[in-house]
Amino acid sequence: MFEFTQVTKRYGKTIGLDEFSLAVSEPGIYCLLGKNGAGKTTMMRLLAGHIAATSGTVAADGQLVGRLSMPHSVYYVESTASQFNVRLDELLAYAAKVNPGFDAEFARMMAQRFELDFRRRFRQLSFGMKTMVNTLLALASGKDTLLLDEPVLGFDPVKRRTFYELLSECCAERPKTVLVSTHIIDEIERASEQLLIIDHGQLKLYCSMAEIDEKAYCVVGPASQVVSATDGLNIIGETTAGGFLSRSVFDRRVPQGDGYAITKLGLQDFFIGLVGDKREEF
Amino acid sequence: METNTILGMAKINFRQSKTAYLVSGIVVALFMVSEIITSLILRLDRGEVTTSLSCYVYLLPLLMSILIPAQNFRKLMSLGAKCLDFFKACILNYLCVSAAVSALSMALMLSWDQLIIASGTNTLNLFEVFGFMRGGPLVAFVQMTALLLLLCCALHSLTLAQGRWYGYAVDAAIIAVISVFTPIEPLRNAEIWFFNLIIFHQLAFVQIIACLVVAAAVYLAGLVPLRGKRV
Repeated sequence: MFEFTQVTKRYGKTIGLDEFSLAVSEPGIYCLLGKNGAGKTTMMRLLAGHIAATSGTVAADGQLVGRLSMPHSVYYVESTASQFNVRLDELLAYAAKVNPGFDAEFARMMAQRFELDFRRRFRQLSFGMKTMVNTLLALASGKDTLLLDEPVLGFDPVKRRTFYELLSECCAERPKTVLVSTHIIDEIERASEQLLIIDHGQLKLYCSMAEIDEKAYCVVGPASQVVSATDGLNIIGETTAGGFLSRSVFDRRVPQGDGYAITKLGLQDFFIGLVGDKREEF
Repeated sequence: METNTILGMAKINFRQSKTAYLVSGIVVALFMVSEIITSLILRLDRGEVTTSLSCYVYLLPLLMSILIPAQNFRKLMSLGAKCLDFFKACILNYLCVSAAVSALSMALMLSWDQLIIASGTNTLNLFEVFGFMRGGPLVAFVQMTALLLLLCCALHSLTLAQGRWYGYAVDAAIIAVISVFTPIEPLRNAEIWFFNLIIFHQLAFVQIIACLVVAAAVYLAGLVPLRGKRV
């Protein structure tokens, strides 16, 4: 599908991606997480050919990606992307002209589910609705790789749920690779199959969500017992409150013990543990 | 499939050039009204020569070649277009608009201008000023199309380059050519030679070929700013 090989992207003195390597070969929904400025958007823009790498290579479907060789199988859209100020039905017609595989029927169905008014011009739409239009254009584009940067920005909870339903339907209909970058982590957790975490321009983690379910957990109890139970394991976060200790672990499972409890570690806590501050004290 | 995409993008560019149509339309309409009042109704004596209405329609391709890269580029990219497809679609736009405007201009010269001339005022149109009518209307049409295409390509590439150091360098170079070349004789001769080649050449096919070659070179040079243009 696509591959980054030792890719570095600099913006003057700032580094967007630093010797970044990644190979994705299976279709599915990929959750892309990272702090602000970690390099998520840079990675997506590089893959779409919207920017050029300072060094290293990006390839999609075996073809090198560049500004003048943008991959035809990749669709990238920012949630805040500006569109022609035409009525929504006309905008869909434009999208069909630009994207030969555009699924106009699916786009119309999505627009109805999002309760978008076809007669309204793009600039007349609210912020959330503009995001919906951009997301809708991507999902209906018919491309094999969709890069969605903050696709639910400004959505209300009901619309967010609709989006994730549509995303699953879209992928079930025809397998494709969908990379979703979002900060609303708990919701994407349910829809995605793979997890990518970028930190400081480098790939921090690439694994399946099943692996996270298996290996990421929290051990809570009296400090001494928690310390002995988790000794030698990969501790990604720690919280102490009085004599109690809560340790977030990303490693093999420890057996249930009498003196401590093992609880599920949510994706958001896992992410914070992995890339945030390691220790909190109350 | 790629051809359909390019044609589709060219159609979108035409549909989304409303500002260019509006501005050119207003300018042409205002001039036309002025002509009707002064030359046809009041029959005022405005001297021996007036600018032909056909000159004002040239505004359309010039405006389009600025507005398409300035306004449509990012929006087409947001729709999933590719840079190279945009590049190919634009040349189609410029070729079509140059030919259409050249034909319209010719039609105006052969119809509207004759009305004005009949009212006693002579008109000044670029076909005659540039000597294109020597080979007849058809050759003149091709010559004007080639010249307009060259101007469109130059403006397109210049617009894409704005905001980058080399864009400003080219702007400065153009100003320098106009202001510095003219007073210095050898440089002025080079300037004259160039304009003779692309506009005033005695042989129509040389002028056409020169325009097309320069247009191709200038348009291809536009790939450099296109590569760096922010999407």
